[in-house]
Amino acid sequence: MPYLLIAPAIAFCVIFRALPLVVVGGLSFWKTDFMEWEFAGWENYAKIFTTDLWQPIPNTAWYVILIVPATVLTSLFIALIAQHVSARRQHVIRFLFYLPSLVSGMVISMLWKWVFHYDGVVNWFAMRMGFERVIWFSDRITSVVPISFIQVLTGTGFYVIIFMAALKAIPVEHYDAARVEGATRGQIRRRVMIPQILPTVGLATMMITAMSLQMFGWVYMLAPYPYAATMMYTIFHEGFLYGRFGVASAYSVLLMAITVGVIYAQRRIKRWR
Amino acid sequence: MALIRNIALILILVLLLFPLYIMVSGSFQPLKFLLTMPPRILPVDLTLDNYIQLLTGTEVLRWTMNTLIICSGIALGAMIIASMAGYGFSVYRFRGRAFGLAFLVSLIVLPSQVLVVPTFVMLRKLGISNGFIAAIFPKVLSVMGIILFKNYIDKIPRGVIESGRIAGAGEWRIMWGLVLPQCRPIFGVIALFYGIAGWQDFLWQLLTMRRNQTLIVGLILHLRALMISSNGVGMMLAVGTIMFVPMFLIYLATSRFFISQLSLAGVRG
Repeated sequence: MPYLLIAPAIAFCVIFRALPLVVVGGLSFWKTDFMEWEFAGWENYAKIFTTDLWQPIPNTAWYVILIVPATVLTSLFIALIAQHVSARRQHVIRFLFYLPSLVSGMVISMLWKWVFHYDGVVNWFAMRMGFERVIWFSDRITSVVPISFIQVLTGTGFYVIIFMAALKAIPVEHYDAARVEGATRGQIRRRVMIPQILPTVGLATMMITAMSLQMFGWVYMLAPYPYAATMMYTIFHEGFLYGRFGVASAYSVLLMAITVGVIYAQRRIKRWR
Repeated sequence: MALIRNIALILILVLLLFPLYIMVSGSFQPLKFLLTMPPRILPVDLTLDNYIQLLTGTEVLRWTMNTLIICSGIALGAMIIASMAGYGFSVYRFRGRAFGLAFLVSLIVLPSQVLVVPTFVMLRKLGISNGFIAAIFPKVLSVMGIILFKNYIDKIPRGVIESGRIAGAGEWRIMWGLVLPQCRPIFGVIALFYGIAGWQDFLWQLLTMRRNQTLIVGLILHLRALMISSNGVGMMLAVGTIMFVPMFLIYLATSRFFISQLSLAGVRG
């Protein structure tokens, strides 16, 4: 009886998690076009490090560098500000901040394309203020910066909710004790609130990092292929547009190693603290 | 100080909600609304043109149907698999229990995106990479859901199960009739989050639903190609609004529950 109950879960886990994991490792040593298969050894990996396929790796690093601290700090800032408003309004704030996460990113990315269009809003303002117009999404900088900005904007809501929940979970006694000791508002924030939610901040940092490493949607919709592509976009491009599943698999293995490595490193840092 | 705080909060909110507003209001206006500079914020001439074009010029109804099938398939599958496994792990003690749990949990850190290529290659070898099976099946395993069910059932007094056995009910009866009906909140969480995931996911649907097409696939493959020339943008905004409305209604109806579950997921880790 118990085996019957857990069998579907185990079966799905084997078929759609464990098996692909083995397959991706195996495929990464094969050279594939849509039709022909040929053993290639380490060739696929060598290709990543010696050709244009290298470009997405520093790109992805840039996205991580721009997105992670900005998202954590923005949402933390908003959550801390929101502590000062009444409980009723806090509910409204939570509701509104998560609302944008429900919208399809694909449609929103078209709107952002309009905002950053050559004749669009951003350039219009830039011109009004006497700057040169920029051709957005034409090279690395003009793609990475706005895409990171968009991601920070849409990704913040979820973490605002999480940080607000973490702040709410701090026992009231801590505040009372601090107030009795004569702590100012700033001191309470620095010495009570922030240390208490540090574990949550660490967790959020890890989640955002993992997510930024796997960025795909915005880049697919907004950025021209080689300049600003992320690793995930390259996997999609190589695998499903060119049918080079071998290279795409090698890339997947690399991305997986980096993601798991980052998660592991952040766990170690947390334990060490 | 309080004033500055409130202004900052409102400014950020306006910035966050602005695209949403433009999407909804833009879908009810002719395209020139987007093309005038400086941008007009308030809608001028409202029209249903975008929606009418969508209904007559594309297969939007079929796209919607397909999306609904995928969402409910994923949500239903996730609920069934997770509730059964959670019940099994909670109620019974058996050989390999600890190993089974460890096996499931160990693969949780695996980023699902990097398995896209091998999963697709596998399904293609089997000749089923295009269709509902390919779109639904790889998405239904919810290890998080198994753990939620297990923890929830752990808290139900064992006496409930014992009394069922004494009354002569079979093991299946006890599970479906006695224990799982008490887990309604967990079913709710899983249906909600997996339904939404199916509604929004686009990479996997783009690969597996090329022939049958869902809302998001139609959006990318058809409307994006039309673009400005023949009012593709207006129709995209309309599709975006169509996709947003049901999500908004569900969110509105369950927001307290929804947000508390989100917070739990974050704080618990």
